[in-house]
Amino acid sequence: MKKGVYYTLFSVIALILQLQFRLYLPFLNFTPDFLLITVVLIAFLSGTKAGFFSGLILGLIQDIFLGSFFGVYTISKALLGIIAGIIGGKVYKQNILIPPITVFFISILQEILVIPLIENLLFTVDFWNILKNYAIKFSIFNSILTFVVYSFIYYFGFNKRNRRNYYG
Amino acid sequence: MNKFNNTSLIIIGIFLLLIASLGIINYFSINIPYLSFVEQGLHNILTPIISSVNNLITGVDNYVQRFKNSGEIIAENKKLKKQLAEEKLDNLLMKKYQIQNERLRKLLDFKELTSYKTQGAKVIGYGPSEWEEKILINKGTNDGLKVGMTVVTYNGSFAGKIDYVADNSAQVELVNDSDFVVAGIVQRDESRAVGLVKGTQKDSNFNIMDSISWEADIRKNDLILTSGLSNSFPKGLPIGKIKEVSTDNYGVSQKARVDLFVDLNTIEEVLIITDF
Repeated sequence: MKKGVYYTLFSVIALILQLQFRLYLPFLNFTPDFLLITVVLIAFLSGTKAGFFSGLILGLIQDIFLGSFFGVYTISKALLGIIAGIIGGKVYKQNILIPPITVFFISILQEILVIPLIENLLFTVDFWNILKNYAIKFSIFNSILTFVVYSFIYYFGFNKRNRRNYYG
Repeated sequence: MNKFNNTSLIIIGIFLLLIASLGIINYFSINIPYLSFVEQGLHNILTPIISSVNNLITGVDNYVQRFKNSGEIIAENKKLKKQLAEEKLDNLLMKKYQIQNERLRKLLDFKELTSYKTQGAKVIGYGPSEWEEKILINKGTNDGLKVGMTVVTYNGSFAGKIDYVADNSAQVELVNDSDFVVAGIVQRDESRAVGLVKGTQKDSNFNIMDSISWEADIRKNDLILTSGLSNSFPKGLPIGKIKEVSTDNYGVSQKARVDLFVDLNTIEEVLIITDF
């Protein structure tokens, strides 16, 4: 229950950042995918089911703010939530380097999924060029952000719990 | 460690099926009743939060700026007052011309020029995708906005059109979105060449104007306006300036690079033409 409240709060903050990042930092000309980072972290911490639902809901909200219901991002984020949940179930969560690496690969995977799904992009963009010049930069930025966020979660979440286990 | 057992495989299978069905709904654009109601509802719940965060941040920013630049503001105020006095004089002269113009128009039986009614709005967010150039504004159906209305910047240059409206917010498809097409016309009297101005991918501040006929007279630095041929946008709104002209379709037609007047990365406020 408490986790659900945290996740909702985290998702709302991610949505606000996603929509307004470019408004306050226009010189960057670039927005990291805060919603994807949220989906991957929720999937990591709570498993496949949570990953799927958070991906579905946040993808839906992202599509709503693009003017379409059940669009490209609902489908891709739900799928990526499942993938992140499966990876999260198979690795040692205390290693703070694993979520950033996962986010890096999942960001690239999202671009690979999204470009063919957007009709007018499919025939107009040079797929490999975009992957080389844009997707990698985008993914690195996302994984650095994940590192920062996960470090916070790690020190305020895991550490407190571990201390309690050791000493009391 | 979590190993795959039958139940988790079944759960994943169900999820994948759900995703596939969503894909089918999306691909065939199937309309499900009540969904637009849910969409509107979510929009109406979320945008006030986004809008208030934006208000809070701009409020704090303005407060800080006020202390930082008070000297500059006083100087600017003095300058603007002087400018206003000059403008007032100019305006008097303009009024005289206006009366004369109206009289002559009546004499020649010309159609009256009317100015459009506009509604100002604040930009409260950008579209959450790198592939679509959209902005979120803080006015909606409650302020009389409708899908398809033309959006311009405060200095009157063409910025885009309204794509989706909720009660208190709307989405604007910007002129540099890869999906956006508008008919443009060269302003020079001896040319009046027509072409289609289209958005480009991942390049913010220029569009491509193509389908210009081979013999059309089009040059660098020509001003491009909306042509009004399609009746979806008003005629004569400035779009941009020609940067370079090249041949297209193996020499059958010409295309040109149009540098947009509006800087879509720093757009903060827009005007919506409501009575076109």
